[in-house]
Amino acid sequence: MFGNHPNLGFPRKVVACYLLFCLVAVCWLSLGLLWISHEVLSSQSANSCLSRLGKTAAAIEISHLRHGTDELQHLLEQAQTEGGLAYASIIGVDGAYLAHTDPNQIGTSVAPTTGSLLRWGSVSGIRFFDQQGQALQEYQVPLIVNSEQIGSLRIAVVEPSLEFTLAKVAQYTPVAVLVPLALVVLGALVLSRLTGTVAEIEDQLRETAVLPPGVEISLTNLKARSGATLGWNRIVETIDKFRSRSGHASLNERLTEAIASRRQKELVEILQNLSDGVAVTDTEGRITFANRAIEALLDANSDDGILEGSAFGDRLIHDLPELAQCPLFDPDWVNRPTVSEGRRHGTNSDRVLRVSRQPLVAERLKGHVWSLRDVTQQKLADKMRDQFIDTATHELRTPLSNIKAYAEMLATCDRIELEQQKEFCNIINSEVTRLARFVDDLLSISSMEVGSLSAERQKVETARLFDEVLAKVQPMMQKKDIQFEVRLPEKMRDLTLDKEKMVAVLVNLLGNAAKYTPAGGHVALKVKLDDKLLQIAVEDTGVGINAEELPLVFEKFFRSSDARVQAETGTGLGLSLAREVVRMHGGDITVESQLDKGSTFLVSIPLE
Amino acid sequence: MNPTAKRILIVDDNVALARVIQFAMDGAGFETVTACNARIAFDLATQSHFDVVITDQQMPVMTGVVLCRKLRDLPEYQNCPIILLTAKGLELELPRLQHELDIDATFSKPFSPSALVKTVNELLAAAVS
Amino acid sequence: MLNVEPQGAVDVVRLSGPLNHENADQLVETVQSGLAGGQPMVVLDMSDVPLMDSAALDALLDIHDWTLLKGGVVKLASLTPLCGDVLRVTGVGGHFQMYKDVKVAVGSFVQ
Repeated sequence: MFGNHPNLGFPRKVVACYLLFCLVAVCWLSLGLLWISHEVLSSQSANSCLSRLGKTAAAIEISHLRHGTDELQHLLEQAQTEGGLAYASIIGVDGAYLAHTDPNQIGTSVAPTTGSLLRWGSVSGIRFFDQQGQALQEYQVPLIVNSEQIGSLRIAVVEPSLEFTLAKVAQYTPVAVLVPLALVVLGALVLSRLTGTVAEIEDQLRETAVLPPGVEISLTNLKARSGATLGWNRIVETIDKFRSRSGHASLNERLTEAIASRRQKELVEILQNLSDGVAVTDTEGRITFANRAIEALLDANSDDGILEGSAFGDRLIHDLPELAQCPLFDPDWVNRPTVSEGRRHGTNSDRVLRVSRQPLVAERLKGHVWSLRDVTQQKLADKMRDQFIDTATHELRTPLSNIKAYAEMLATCDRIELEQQKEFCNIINSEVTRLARFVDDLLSISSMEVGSLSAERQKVETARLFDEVLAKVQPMMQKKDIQFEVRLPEKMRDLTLDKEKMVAVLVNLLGNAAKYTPAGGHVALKVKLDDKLLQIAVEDTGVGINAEELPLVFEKFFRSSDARVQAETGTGLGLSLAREVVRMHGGDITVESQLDKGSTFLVSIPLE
Repeated sequence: MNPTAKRILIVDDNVALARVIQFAMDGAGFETVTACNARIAFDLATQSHFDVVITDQQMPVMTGVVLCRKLRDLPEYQNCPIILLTAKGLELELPRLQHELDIDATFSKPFSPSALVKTVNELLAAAVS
Repeated sequence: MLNVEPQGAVDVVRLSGPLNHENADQLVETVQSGLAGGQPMVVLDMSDVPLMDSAALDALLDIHDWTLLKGGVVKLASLTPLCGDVLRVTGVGGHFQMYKDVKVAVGSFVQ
């Protein structure tokens, strides 16, 4: 019963059980005590009655002898008082009461009584119930005087009833029963005290057990009375500490938060280190994040740097005005990813920036992500490549058109004279040569620019180098009847050069001189060689170059618009190639010229 | 010199090509004059009348298209057949140019001189009728 | 002696003579303020620099850090063998892209 009571904790169950069993024991003992007392009293009264019987009988016999029947009543009364008898009587031989404690009975005859018979030796007795319902024990013994029975003596005692016993015992009860009870109660108190702490702990645990999930556990400290409570308090303290540190977060949540904030710092660092500019704007176009590169790209000083909260679009339009026309600022394109390019006018030069904008739709972020990149070099490279392709194709197409036209004429026309046929074939031939040379030059210059072709410098006999050059250009000079002056140093030591390329350069320079100098003109090749420097000058008295075009002559494909130059065939690559080769040798090439007077090209190469 | 022969102005900075076109046209019975740039060509065109103008597009100083524009501004050349020799790549703009400047024919290089002669004849025939 | 020649968007700084404590500061100064604005794109033409000392190495590292902060790049071109060794041995060279030729170095900025 107690074991299943829902509200009692284990320690209290212990106490309750203890009380139960102790009380039962005490009750049992009390009842036992009562019973035993009853039995004892019963036998005690019987015993005393019997002993009195003998004594009284003897006294009566003696009295009869001495005094006859006078003293008998007195003796009976005495016996009754002494023995606590119910009554005593002497019955004569006639069957009438000779004496009786109840005076009314004297003289009357004895009524027979029924009851259960008792016998002790010569004593007989009877147990019966009188009119009041009391249980009586009557004992009878014959009186014998001088060997003559004069009568019999009867005495009766009241058999003690349970109530009688109770009454008798009651005086002892306070001591006999209440003291153990008190001890038991005391024991219960001590026990409950001992288990009290455990009870409190158990209470809290039970409360926690029945809490619905999600509800916060609340535990309280207990008075420190034992090791268990101290341990409990410690646990409660630790839990509280955890809780107070993070508000309402669990340990897991706090760990996640710590990791996330560190990761975020790392990510911000990563973004700051990008070479591309990254910025984030909110739905109103205000900056919420801008990395360092953005500031550098927009050439923002620390004074008017990129401020958080400022309108990014305005800043962009201010710095790159061309963007105003772009989809970037078209309201239709607010939610579309766009890429635009704009030119920023810098302090020393212009830069082209590529601006890309993506809409940002994330859980907690709405707005745009911007990415800026400096693409100036790429744009320049593209422009150069486009120019290159334009010019190259033009230069290729010209000889091709000629070859086709002349070849077709030869094939279809029947009225061409032999002389003219020959001429046409020659023209085709020279055009092919021109084309081939152009392609070669193109290849060379492209390789050199990319850096894949480099000067292969070897020990060269300088004299042999110049011999080769002269051999190639003499015919040209002679054909146009040009005065060709050559001034070479006397002692020409060996140099470390790329012979093939240097020869090509000199032939080109001299060839140009010859080409653009009218017949009868003058061309000079002057070479100076000392320990530190090799200087080669090519002078002519040709058409010259005007001041505007002078700085451009070394550019790829550049050809003067002067009609006299245009009249000659030329790829426009010779001088650029020459410059590349000379630079590869660590030197430089310069030009001085006067229109209609002539030009002087100077090559200087430092020597080790 | 055939006084009734049609006169053709050939404009090209590529001298060799101009010469071979001239050769082809002469052979077809035309009278030809060559100019190596558009400025000279324009001067020549204003000085005397030409029945057909053949001009290259890519030339320094003044392009063939600009020359066309200038010629079309002159009343005597408004209906004159003009043939443009072009480089591949300008074809994207050609329909617009052709429409705007009323260029009668274009030939992209390299081309066949005989075909050019044939086209010149066709254009002249059409102009007469 | 320093000479700055812009090639497109790239600034080519040509140095002459040994790079040491005398001119190292000037180099840093030139790079940090004397160039076109925006993200720095610099090639140092070292063909005429026969040797460099510790001040030079410091200057190079300063320049490197400064350009990195702006998201730009500094590259070295045409290093003499001695300078190349110095940079390699001190580990400073590990921070820079090095090219045999100024032209190729400038070309690499197209990427």
